[in-house]
Amino acid sequence: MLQRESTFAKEALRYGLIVIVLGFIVFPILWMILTSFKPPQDVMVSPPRFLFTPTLDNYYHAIVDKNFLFYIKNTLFISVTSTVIVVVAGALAAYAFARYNIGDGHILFFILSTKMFPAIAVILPYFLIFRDLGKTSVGRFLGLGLDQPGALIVSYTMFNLPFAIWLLVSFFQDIPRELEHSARLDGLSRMKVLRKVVFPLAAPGIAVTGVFTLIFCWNEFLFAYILTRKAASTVTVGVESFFTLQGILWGPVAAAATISVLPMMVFVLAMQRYMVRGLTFGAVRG
Amino acid sequence: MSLSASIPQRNQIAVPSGMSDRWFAILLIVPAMAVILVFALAPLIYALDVSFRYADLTLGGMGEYVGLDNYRSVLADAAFWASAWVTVKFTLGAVILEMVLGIAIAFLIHGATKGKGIIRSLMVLPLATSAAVTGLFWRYLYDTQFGLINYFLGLLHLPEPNWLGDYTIALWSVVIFDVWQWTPFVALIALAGLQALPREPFEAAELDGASTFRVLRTLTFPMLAPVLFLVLVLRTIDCVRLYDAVAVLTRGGPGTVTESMTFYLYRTGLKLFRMDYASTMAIFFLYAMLVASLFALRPLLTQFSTRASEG
Amino acid sequence: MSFSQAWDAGFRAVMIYVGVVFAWLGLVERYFASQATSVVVMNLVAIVLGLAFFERARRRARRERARAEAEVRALVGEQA
Repeated sequence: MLQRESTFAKEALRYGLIVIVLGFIVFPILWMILTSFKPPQDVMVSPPRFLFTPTLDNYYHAIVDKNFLFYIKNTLFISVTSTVIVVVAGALAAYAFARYNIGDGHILFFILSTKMFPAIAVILPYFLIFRDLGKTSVGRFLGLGLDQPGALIVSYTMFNLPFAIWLLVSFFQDIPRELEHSARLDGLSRMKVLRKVVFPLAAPGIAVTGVFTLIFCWNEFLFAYILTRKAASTVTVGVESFFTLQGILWGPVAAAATISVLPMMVFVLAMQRYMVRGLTFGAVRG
Repeated sequence: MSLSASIPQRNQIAVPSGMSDRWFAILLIVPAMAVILVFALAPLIYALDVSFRYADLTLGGMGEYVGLDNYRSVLADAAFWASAWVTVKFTLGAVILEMVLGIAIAFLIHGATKGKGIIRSLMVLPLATSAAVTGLFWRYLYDTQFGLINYFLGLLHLPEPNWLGDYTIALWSVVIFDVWQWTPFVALIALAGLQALPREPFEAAELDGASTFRVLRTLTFPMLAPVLFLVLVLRTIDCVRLYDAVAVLTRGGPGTVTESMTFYLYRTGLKLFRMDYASTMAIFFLYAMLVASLFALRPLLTQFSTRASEG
Repeated sequence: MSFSQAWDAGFRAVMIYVGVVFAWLGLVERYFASQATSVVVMNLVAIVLGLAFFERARRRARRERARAEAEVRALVGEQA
């Protein structure tokens, strides 16, 4: 945009507003982290207290009593596996749509419209499918039964593929065709072209897709709640379990919430630059 | 109306290869399509099937076929329409607020010269949080006794509403939560769009002495339109599917004032165990979404298709 | 009409059919004495509307193609 002459007052006003906006955005999270360090008597108190002696009791309660690290381990395994599958299968399919236009847009339309379906509507069929799979020995071996990680992995893969394919198609289309053409003329097979030319060039886009998928899997609640009981539960379910059992003890809930939210926040801060690029996927260039 | 012209496709380069291009492409989409076909079509067919039957799960098992009766009951159900109306109100409120605020914030940040990286990093944070988890914590914020929001309002001598218990504002409390979580998303995309705009038209406009308003109206917004449309579509899709926030903040209450369509579906399907009713509603939902896709997705898809067919 | 166009038009025609059914069930059926007649009439109306739409799409696609072919012929004629 144009660089107009701006006075000090104007700049001050701008940054002031930005600080206010950022404050609104960040404050709830900060408050949650703060609350997690509060002893119970400072939590259920009115007016709310800002100064207190911090304690690690809530975290102790979450990690030791509730074995919260177990949830984290589960969530990590499920999220990462699902993300890898989504990225690989999605990238291959997206390339086919991007360069070969297979299905002339109709298959892509079908895939993208599945994204619009609310999870709640398919929950019962999924429950039944996995229940039946869990009864077979093959299903149980692959971890596909209820309360097994495979069920969630597959479900999350299903939910993330459409969006991932959408993102990746536009990333692939941003790569100039000549590079692929010349590689082919050099005699490389199509798979080699993909591996050596296309994927390295599309790496930022693939990374962004992976980030979004990972976040979605980590934060998902409904399916994790319905499809797992004890063995395969994720952090989101773990936090909700705090809520129901002991009424509303906000201190421990805050600690659990912080533990479950912190990894993703750190991850996102690290990948921030890529995320913004990915968020606009091609529409900006158009 | 087709997506690519009915002109025969030019072959890709004439390099001798074992497999034709078409087969290669089919091979590429097999893994993804395998998952999607099984886990998208199967539940859909199942839901369609159940929607034509009588299925009260408390009586055990699926009943026999009753034709279109379920559809008749759903269409006549006042609670269904009420939930649809709640969803519409929520979507309009949330999306409009998020778009307006998001674009405004984007302009605000765009003019800033320093610290953009830090600002962006902070703005990305709400996205990384789970609606179910932070939503739960927002109950604490909204609490009338211990909540921080009312505390601050009290300091400023403003009225302290009962955010989650008042019939008239409960839905707005949910809207505010959604706006908190997603406005940064809109702002970041709009910001990226702004930063990608070419300089020349704007420099020319400044030389011509055009007013800021004129520049905005004729240059900025038209050029941002595709990006903004994309965000609009994404947010609308997500808001119509509203479930997590309601489940965690209000459970549809007080009464049914915040009961969105998906929450009502949840209530009939998983609490009242009327799977026939729930499946029928799901089919309605699917229909509405498909019609909406025809209008919203087509323009985006033609863009993909034409780019894929060239070269 | 190419396959792609036919699929597209067919999909929309089906959507129209379903839409008519929904609208009928919600708004029109109450005026019918017998449910059976209502269902029959509903199907007739819905199918007719769906087919009409499909026909219109087919005719439009044909006209477009004829026009494109005429253009191509004109170009070839010019060069000859």
